Amino acid sequence: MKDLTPSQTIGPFFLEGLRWAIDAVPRDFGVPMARVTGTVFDADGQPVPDALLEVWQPALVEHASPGERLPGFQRADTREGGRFEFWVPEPGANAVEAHVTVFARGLLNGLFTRVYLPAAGEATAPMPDAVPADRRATLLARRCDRHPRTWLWDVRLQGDGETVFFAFA
Amino acid sequence: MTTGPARRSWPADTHPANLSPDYRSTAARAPLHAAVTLPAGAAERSVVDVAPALVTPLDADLTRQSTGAPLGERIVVSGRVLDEDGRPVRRSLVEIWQCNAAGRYAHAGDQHDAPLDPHFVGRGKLLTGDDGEYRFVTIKPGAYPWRNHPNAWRPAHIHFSLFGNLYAQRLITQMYFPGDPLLAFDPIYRSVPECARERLVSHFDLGLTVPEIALGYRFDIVLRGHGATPTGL
Repeated sequence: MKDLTPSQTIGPFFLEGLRWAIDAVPRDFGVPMARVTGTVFDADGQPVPDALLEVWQPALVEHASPGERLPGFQRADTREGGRFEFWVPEPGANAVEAHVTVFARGLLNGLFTRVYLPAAGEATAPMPDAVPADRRATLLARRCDRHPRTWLWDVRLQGDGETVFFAFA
Repeated sequence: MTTGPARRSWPADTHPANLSPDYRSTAARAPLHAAVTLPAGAAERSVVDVAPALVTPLDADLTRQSTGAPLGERIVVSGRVLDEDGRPVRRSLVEIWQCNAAGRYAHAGDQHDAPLDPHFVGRGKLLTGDDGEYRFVTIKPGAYPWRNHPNAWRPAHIHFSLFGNLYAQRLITQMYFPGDPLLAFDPIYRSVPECARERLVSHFDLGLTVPEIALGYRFDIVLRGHGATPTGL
């Protein structure tokens, strides 16, 4: 067995280094999309303006247009006061899930999480059994009253309402 | 299902603890709950397929991305990306970014009083080859001060972002240079368990040098996954 390479922080100065053609911007994803927006917070409730979210939705790969450079993948930074936005399919009869990795100054390891958008008429979405019942709300987006195609979801790195992060065996 | 040695999802003898008090920024940002462990599912095992159009040959040469040559010591940084079985991780996206020779990033947030180099942006990317190999040409980054503690300086480093072939192989890390006296004082480097730290230090390799042009450093990277990549996570 080869020894794994350890993780290190992304640091504060990644932005210009990682802005290729895979930023999260509205475009034709091949299916009707909804916007997910929110803020990354630290333990003190302060927004984190130097985080990077990477959103992975393999279900979108088959709908990707020929010009897509990294199909199914979006990058969203938080330089606007800790806020981010990205796009996921609008849920219908089924819930929608997106896989999100969070990097930031102060995070020595990338953090894997997920966001779930409940199916139409539902208040929650199916999640793995291992997610504790009292922390499931941290993975649920809620529809914005005023902008029905916008969903709200915050990431709390530490403290009250700490977002559930995953490891994969 | 594949069988084999017990899989370690994010081994504590390799990776830093999220909360590493000497690196002050972890205090309010490191999650305190243990990660919820799941079996890698379809999404985590999905192949991340990069369009070849994402990269151009010039992306791998950070000394030729401007109208003139950047200042500093030209270097080659090269190695292989492997999985835990030593198999090459092929056609995978590798990104790097770094400060210039004076220790300044081309980034609006970097206020270090050192000159910007108009000919150096400090970013590169490429796809690994059939043997997992990669090769960048760049300049040696400088050390720079930060405010983590009194008289704190980051050792020279190049940031590496690796996609692997599968979503769950994603890794961001930093490559250091051999013999750097600042490593002994750097809380980010020292956040890694002692037995694993040297894996982040590149090796000087005369065979990688380009005579009259550039010195060479070798940095091999091992991503998680074994038992027949890309399905053996």
